[in-house]
Amino acid sequence: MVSLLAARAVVFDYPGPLRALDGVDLELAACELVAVIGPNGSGKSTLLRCLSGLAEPGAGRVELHGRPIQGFRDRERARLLAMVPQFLPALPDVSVANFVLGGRYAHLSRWRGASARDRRFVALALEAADAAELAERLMSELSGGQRQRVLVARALAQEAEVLLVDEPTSSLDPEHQIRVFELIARTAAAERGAVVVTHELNLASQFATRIVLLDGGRVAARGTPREVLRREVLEPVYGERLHFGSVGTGEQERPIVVPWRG
Amino acid sequence: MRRRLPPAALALALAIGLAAVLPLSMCVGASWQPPGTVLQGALAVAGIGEPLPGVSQVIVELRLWRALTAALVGASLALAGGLTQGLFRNGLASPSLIGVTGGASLGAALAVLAVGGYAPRLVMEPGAGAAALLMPVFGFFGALGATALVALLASPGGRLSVPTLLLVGIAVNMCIAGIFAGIQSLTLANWEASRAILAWTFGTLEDRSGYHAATVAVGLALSLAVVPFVARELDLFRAGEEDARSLGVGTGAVKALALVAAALSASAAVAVAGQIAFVGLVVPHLVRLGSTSRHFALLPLCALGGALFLLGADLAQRALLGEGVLQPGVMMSIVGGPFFLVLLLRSRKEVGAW
Amino acid sequence: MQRRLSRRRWGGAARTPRSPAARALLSIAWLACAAGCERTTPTAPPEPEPEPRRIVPTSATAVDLVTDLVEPGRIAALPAQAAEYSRIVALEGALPGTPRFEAYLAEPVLAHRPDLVVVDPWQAPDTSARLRRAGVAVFALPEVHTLEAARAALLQLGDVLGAAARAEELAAELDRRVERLAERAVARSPLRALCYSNFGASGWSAGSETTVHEILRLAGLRNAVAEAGRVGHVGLSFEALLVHDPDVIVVSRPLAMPAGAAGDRGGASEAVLLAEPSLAGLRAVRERRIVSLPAWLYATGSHEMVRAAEVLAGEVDALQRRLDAAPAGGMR
Repeated sequence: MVSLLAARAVVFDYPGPLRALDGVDLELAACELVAVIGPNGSGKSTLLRCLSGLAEPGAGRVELHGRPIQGFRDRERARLLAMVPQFLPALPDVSVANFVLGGRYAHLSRWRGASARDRRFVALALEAADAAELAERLMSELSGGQRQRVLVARALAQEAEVLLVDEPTSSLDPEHQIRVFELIARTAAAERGAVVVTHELNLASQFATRIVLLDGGRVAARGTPREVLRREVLEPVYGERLHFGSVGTGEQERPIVVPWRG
Repeated sequence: MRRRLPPAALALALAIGLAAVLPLSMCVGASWQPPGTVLQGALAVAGIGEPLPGVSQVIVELRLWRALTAALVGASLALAGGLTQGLFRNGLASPSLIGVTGGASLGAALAVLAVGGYAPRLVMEPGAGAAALLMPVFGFFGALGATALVALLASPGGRLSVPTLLLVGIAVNMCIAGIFAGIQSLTLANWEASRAILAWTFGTLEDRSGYHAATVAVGLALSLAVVPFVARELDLFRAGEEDARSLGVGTGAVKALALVAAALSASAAVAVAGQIAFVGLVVPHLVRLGSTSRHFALLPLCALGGALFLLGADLAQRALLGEGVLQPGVMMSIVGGPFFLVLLLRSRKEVGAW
Repeated sequence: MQRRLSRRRWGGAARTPRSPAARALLSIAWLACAAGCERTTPTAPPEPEPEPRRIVPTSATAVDLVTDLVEPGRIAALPAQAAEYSRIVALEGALPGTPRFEAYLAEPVLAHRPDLVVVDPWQAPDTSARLRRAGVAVFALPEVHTLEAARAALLQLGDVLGAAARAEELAAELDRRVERLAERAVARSPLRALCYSNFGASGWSAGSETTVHEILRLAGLRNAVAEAGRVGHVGLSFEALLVHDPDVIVVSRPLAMPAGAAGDRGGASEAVLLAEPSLAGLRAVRERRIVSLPAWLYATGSHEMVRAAEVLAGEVDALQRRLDAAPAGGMR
């Protein structure tokens, strides 16, 4: 099966030199939701930036649909791959609807403005992201959680095959955390794929098809949630103050991991 | 703050204002010329109807070129300001940041050196009238040269970096100021030359002719032509450059285009009219306050607004204070300085984040 | 605890504060006061000697006066740039043996051990103050816009330099030359003139209360700009030039250009006048009624304004002869 997105032996150094990624492999196939977990500083966000083509690896390559990602023109790439950043360096002074409309950029022709079809996409994306009621508000007026949902909506409006999501739940309450992950999983399941960087091990447990554990720029473990979220695997990386359990039965059983002082 | 006027309404208002102020600006001068005379003279320039008798026609023509130049210079500077602010994603940016004003000053000073007899061979052209052309030409290439240097130094590894652009712009401006001061000290004893250099820094809209207006018009037209290629992209820049790239914007090309367009229009304007500050800084803000931040409408509105702004201010200053009292650069500094302060105070939050 | 509190409340003001930042601030403030006080403390300026032998003039006007009053041996140094705009440009040799100094600053001037420094009224007052403190006599010339003022300055400086006799002689000579100029002027019908300077950006002229105005007057010309009521150095637009419609336009010729260089005698200003399309109909441009003065004469602020007037009168006479000799319809 041709993978949608693949990282092969990716090495990335920050000026310093600081090696953030040291030979990382990752493959994303259709209908998959791959969760990337790992302690702070393990290179998760850097991996995501390399996967999105925004950062060029020092060695190794990233392939989108089997072709090197740097070979894609920006517009072409944006039609295939959408990024949901953790936060924006600056908030533009626009309404939410216009902000999400920005996600249609790769589809808009230079000379004709946004068509009715584009606006319909925007409306659908906002609805799917549970942000329909925010459409007329200004971006600067939103709370952290509302902003995150709007960012997801914009990525959906991009109509891309691959979603790269960086910590989508950091400001969300539990109900919305689940909703966002449900949305991403649903999207991925519809012949697309998603790579989600997250600290929420338990959400990864419920929604990820596969989990990749990063530690110090290397892949420490990969596999299904049940294979990865185990004491033998996590303790060397996260330390000992974890409590393991499970929720559900049979096929629905999922491991849970809780930080516990003990 | 909610948007006030839809862009089309503001455009109409500005156009009407311009249509009213332009002929009025031609009537006001050392002597009041009635609107009918002015209109007849202006039409005669275009080849329609009879020219006015004797020296009146020449006077009306002089005023026509002056008014047109003022409007075009205002438009160019404001457009360059809008582009620069979009490029830097910062409302405190103005075209002088990228080295345009400093480079033009240096070019103009070199021109004065040439015609002031410091480079006799240059001026020995019999009847070439070199002096009148030399200053705008030198100023234009000085401005472009300085901007090119800034852009080059701000592109490590071939990619233009906006934060580096800001720092390099400041550094290059300082270097240019040093050389400029050196030239001024060279010409200290030749008071005609040193006065010419000093006067240039105050700006001048006086004695502009057809080719001055044409130079600025060309710069303006080229920059306006670029607007459709960068407008939507500059909107997306506001959330951050990387974010724009992830949406599919070719950020390298957009930055280069915006920079070139801003440099072209600002260089032409400053070369022809000297240093006129604050138009590029103030007008984009006024347009944003009055109508919209979306660049597709903002940039052309900046051009219209800038034209009306400079022309109107010049007219008001001439009508109230008389001829030759204040140069346009001085007038703009007097008006623009307090405005800039108010702007800073209003955006105290953002300033705190620096 | 009580004691410490009360000390802080009542006695703290007279104490040096503890924090280093406040102390630094106080030191800076004290230094600034000291520097300022130094400036304003009055001390008696040094008296000039009866016959100074090491004179340093520091401006073009000063050079004009000093070199005309005393012999070169008594001049210790000359200002490099300003000297080029003084009368020694016209003199053979231009005092090559005398050293030059670059800028009017205390150190370079003191290096020549002057016993008298002659300055213009507007020149660097703090340098003058420093020279006085160093024991050097500094004589400030009065403002000169008119011939009377130039004459008075000559006599006054003559006294200071111990060359009163020479000054009287020069003053008498000036009077004779002015009389001759007046005689020549009567023979000529009064022409309306103005001076014009344009290096490519904007045009300038001079109204009343300027030395150029005085030069025009001495040469027997009427200053059209002064007659329009303008005072001092003023901007002159093309429109104003068209309205004034002068008989003669006077421009200055840059130093680096030799007189009579083909096609460009008047330098940039003349080139601008001739090339500007809107001025093509101006009588002064059409008939080439443009005369040039060497830059040092155009800009002179000393008694050499009489020489400037003589040169100007000569040029105007030559112009008049050329125009009279031309066939009807004006010359190209």
